[in-house]
Amino acid sequence: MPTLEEMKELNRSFVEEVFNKQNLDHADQALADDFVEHAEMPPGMTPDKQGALQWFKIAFGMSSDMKVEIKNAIASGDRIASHTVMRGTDTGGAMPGVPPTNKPFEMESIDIMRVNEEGKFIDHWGITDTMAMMQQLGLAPSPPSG
Amino acid sequence: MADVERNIDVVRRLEDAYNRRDYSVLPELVRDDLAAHTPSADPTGQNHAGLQANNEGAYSAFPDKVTEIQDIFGEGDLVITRVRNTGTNTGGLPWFDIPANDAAIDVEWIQISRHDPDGKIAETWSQMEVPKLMQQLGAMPGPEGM
Repeated sequence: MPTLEEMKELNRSFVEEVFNKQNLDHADQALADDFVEHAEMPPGMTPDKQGALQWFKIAFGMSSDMKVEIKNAIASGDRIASHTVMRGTDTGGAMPGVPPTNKPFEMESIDIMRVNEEGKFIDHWGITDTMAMMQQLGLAPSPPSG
Repeated sequence: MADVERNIDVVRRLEDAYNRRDYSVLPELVRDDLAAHTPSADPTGQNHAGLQANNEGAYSAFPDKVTEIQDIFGEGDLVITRVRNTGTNTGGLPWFDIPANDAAIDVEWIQISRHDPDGKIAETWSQMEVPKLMQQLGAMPGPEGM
């Protein structure tokens, strides 16, 4: 079983390779074959490794300059949680069915991953502030102030 | 009790208090100068009175609201909590312009809390499945309609 520091390193390298370098091979190696996605998936995508890899491929096309920064990480037992912020420009149509707005966006996510004995991700739970992105792109009304 | 275990206990006690609508324990569990970061949401409800108003507001929309901690762990002064929130919209959500419609909701939220040296919650970062909530309330088309 990986140590807490090793799990944090798995998370760091996943963010760096997959989100910041768009390295799909890294994602393929980092996810266990029996990986289960517990977060909401876009329609038509299965909540497994194949669906997750398919989703990454689509996400890479949404924004040409997408970068993810880790703000906080929490490790315990076989779980690693991370609070991240994703910044980019909507160059490829970040919202399905809507043409690219070419506006910048910045959205936060909180994710929990479970790691198996071999140091591969086996479960993922996560919530991303997609409403914030929609508001920044002008695709959803902003919240009332005050 | 180690600090991490004590901090986890504080989050459990707070969630239990919210479920019982008992606000007498708030000063013991949460700092009154709490900094709550909930992107794209109205940045109110930071002090004890605000937290009580938030919870009561949720009960006026969903009088049968129940929250259940699905996962909780911590490291250092941070705790991560994944919570399932169910209820029925028999009261309406005037701030979202949604009338009472008996819609059943079943969504999750994930929160990271930072605890002060006494274990009290000093800062929180939260994400909720807002698009899923809006779909369940009938206020937003489902993924097929997007």
